Amino acid sequence: MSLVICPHCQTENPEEREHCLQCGRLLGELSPAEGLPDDNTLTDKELAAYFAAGQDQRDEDDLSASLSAGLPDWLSELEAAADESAGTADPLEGLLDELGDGLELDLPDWLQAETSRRSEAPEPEPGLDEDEPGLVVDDQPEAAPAMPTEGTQVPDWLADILDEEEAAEIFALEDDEDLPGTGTDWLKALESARVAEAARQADEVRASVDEEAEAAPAGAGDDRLEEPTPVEEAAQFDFSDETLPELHASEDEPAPADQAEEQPMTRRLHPSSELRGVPEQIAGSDLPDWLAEQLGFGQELEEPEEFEEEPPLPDWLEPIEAETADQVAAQLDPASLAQGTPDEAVEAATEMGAESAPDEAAATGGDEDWLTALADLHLADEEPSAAEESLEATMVLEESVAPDWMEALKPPELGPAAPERETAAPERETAASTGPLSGLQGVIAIEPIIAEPRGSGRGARSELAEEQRRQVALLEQLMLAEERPAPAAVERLPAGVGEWARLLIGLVLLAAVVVGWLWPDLGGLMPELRQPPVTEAAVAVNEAIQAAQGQIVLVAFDYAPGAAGEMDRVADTLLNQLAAGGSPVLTLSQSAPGVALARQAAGRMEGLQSQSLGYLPGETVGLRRLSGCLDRPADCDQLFPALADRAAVESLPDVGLIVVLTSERDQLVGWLEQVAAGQETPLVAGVTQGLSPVAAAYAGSNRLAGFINGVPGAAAYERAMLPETGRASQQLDSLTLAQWLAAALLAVGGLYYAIAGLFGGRKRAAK
Amino acid sequence: MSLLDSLGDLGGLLLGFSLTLLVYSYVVRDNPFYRLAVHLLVGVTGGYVAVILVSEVIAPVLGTLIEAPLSQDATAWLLPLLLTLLLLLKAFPGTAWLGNGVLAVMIAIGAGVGLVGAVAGTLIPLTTSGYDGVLGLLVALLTILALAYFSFTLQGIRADGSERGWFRYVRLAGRLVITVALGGVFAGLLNSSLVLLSDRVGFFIERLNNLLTVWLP
Amino acid sequence: MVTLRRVLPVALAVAFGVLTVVGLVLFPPMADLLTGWASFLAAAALLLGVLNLLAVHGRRVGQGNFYSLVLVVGLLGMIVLGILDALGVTVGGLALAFDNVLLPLEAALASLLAFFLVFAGVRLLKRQRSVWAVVFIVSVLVVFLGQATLPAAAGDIFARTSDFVSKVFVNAGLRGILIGVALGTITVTLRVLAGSERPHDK
Repeated sequence: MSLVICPHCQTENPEEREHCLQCGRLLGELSPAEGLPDDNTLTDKELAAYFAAGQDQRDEDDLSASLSAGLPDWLSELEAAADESAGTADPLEGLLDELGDGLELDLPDWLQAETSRRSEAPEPEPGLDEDEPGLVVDDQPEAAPAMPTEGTQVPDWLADILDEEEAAEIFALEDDEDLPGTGTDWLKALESARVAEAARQADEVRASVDEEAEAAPAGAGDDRLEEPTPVEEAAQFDFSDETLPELHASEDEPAPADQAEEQPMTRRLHPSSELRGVPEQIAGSDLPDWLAEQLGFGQELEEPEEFEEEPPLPDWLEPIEAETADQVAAQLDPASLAQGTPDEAVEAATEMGAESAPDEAAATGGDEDWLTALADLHLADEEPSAAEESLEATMVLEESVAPDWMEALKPPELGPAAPERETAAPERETAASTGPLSGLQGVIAIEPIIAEPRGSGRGARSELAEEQRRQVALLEQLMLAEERPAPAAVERLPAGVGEWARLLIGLVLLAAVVVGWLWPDLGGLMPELRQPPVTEAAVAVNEAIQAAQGQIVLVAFDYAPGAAGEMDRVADTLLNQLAAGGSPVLTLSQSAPGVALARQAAGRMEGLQSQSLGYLPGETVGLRRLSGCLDRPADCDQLFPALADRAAVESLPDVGLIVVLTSERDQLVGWLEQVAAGQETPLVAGVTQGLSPVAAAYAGSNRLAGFINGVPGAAAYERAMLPETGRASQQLDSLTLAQWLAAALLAVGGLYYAIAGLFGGRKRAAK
Repeated sequence: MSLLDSLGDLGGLLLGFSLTLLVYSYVVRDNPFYRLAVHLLVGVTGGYVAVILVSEVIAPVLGTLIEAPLSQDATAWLLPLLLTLLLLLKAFPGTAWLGNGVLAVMIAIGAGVGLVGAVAGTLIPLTTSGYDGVLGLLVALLTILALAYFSFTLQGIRADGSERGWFRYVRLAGRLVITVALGGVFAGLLNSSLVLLSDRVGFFIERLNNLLTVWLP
Repeated sequence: MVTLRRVLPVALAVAFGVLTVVGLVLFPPMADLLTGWASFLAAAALLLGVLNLLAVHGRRVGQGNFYSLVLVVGLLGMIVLGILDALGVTVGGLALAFDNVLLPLEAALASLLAFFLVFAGVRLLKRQRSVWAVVFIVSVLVVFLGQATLPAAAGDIFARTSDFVSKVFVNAGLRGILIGVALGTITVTLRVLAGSERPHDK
């Protein structure tokens, strides 16, 4: 492939390119925008001209053509309208009005100043009220009588900055595209419409930068440098040494003047360089990618598939994904644009290739939503030129009729009988005629609302509806519930007393436990005691075990080692009964320590036929997999990969009872939801007392055949169902004293603080 | 039990006792001994989990692939292994998005499983059964009240922010149900924790008693 | 590329989530396949998590953190014991460490809860003096004593009261909570399946 050398920056370009990859200039001729001053500063005029040249370059890009080729006609018309609007109206005005009035966003100072300045202007810029496209496109030509027919007309504000010839060249390039719109996929068109709207917003912001540059007289640059205002101070570039290392080379080894003129201006920027008139939020060292590109940090456009790959999420579920004009405008807050890393700007400035700056931003952790949104805007910038040509071709969409129920939902003011708006043409109140909403009446007429010029101080402020007030009240209720301070302590204990009290209570509790083990009946002092009876749920467990006698029983050891002190008693009780009934047992665990606990428990039982299936990975997902294997063992080779004896897995459908021993709610619920819900095999559980309320809720719903709750439940089960009592009963006996002590402490503590609180309240009232 | 075994048992007993004391020192206040014990617990738990994962899942799969790479068992593991390798890429910033893709697959499958399980295993059974008899009706009513307490809605709130009378009483009743229910859970937890404390103490008492039986017959 | 990075995980999540649900409802073998993959991936992710823990605390050891040194020694010690067991150098080394280190530590930590639950119960009305606190503490006492070993006369009263409270109030409250949790699970899952919830990005 032959290469063409750019006469402006000496960059090698492919032969088929008309514009330089590096600087964006036309290959083969010098642009009037060349010839930067020798000092390393940029005047406002130069900046504006360069911005315009950057626009030129983007519009001419080949990829842009391919992007726009797929646009449907109605969208192309929208693009054309957007271009004309951008060419004839002050683009900042619409954006500022929209930001300041419609959205009531918190604008930065520099933007607020611009807003107020414009609101004081006696006459709005012509064409803005007619041509501003909304989200819903109304492309009837007669609806916009003031729309200029010449899309290449140079606006006044730009004419002030540029030479007429230069500006004419810039805008003439937009007409050179020949890209018919042939797309038919309405979903893609919807997406493209969003992108196009975002592109319009981006154009307006870029124009706002131009406007800032225009606001600063070129000749006053030196004075401004000497006595910078706060805004102007913020407008200075602050390229650090790390961000633009190549600039140092140009400083150390100054190039000849003629050579320097041919370098892209970004390469000639000095660390002390500044872009006057550009707010710091935009012109800071942390340049966002789109601005880096604007400043000539050229980069290859991204593949067209990328924006087509936007997930077509349903709006009702993903309002955030829908980058409406409001959201894009909010994301274009210059304060947020200033975020980014200096590295991104350097990469964009120094690299020309397929890897774009947004990629780098994502790689450095800068892939926030605003950045990706801007990346999309960057793509969308390429489309308008193609859309202009597609004005010729019209795609006739079938007229659709809204169903009655949708008509009934329509706000009355948008209906056919609604009174005409004072500022909008009557036809704008009727149905949309193009696009996917073609024929629908009552579409939200954003266009006339946005297009109508108005000052920031005018217009009725939104008033809170009753429902909004209630929402506020609800929010306050939630917030206050969270933040409500705790009542003041009844009395302030001296520092350290709390620790001693805790230690004292702890020691007393410990002593009660020790005494409970050494002298369970207190040497005969203990009265006749009544232990908790066996529960209905425990009786159900016994019935299930009896019914499964001789059948394989699957036992899950899903309790933590910390709960082994309680759960081992429950496990021993149930395994004893299973061993007595001659049921072979398969053990497994969802947790790694559970494998060891199962091994220990099986080792404690005499006469128990047990085999360990091992560790079941995946928790809930693993349980669902196991549930499938209980029905279809043929596909269970991947289950328990460490198990050498596959016969155990193949015997899973023969399981007659599932016993789950757990101390965790998630584990219990997982078994009930994933296994018990799809199985006829009964499932019983042994749980801690802390978990017994959860188990009881499921047992009442018959999802859980029965359960034993902790040591008291196991002890009762031993007494009622087994021939002899075991360790559970022994542990319960030792626990009695500690239980009484704990209950007494709770009661006494509660009474003390309640009474102290009453007296404290009276004392405070008396004072 | 031989004397040698008893010495080994004594070592284990002393180690366990020392570690328990380190943890119980937290009763007074947070201190370095407690932190030491907790860090040790996290370390040994992590190590144990790693060993079990490798021995029970990873190593057998890799062994299958190495022994018979073209077998049906081995090929079935290829895709999960490939996804695991992609998961490793999450550690590197440039390729983390590939790891995110694998993570998304995991989460999505878990979410799908959770959705079906929640509907079939909790929502349907808890809303359709267990409400037999008069007591069942009372449980149903109280369940609705409990749900009403958790539902933050605009229905019962006036424009000035105050709650409407009926809704206020519904929420109060719901709060009563939830409070009593949480009291029941607290009682169960307290009982469980007392059992665990008792088990810890009983463990040392029994082991010491066993050793004394060997040493002082 | 940025869009691909953003969209790919979401697209995968939506696709696999929908496939899983469809498989579970209509075509169980497909669900078996997907859950099998996910189970293995979960194990691999857990192992990666342990390795990450080791790496993080390994760096802290380099900075002189003693606690991290203890953690790393404990972690590596268990792994070494596991390797030695697998190689046949030692027999039951891992189980010995489990019984004498891991089990006592976890059991002690769990039993520590008893002290703090009693502290919290005693000081509840000091911290929060309200009708609800009184209702709570009374509920605790009734249910707790209903599960405890008591003298026969008092035991009957508390057992009956506790049984009623547990079967009606606690049962209803827990049902409400569990139904609420299930509804929350369904909501979050639907958001994941719609691509609007992206937990993989967190």
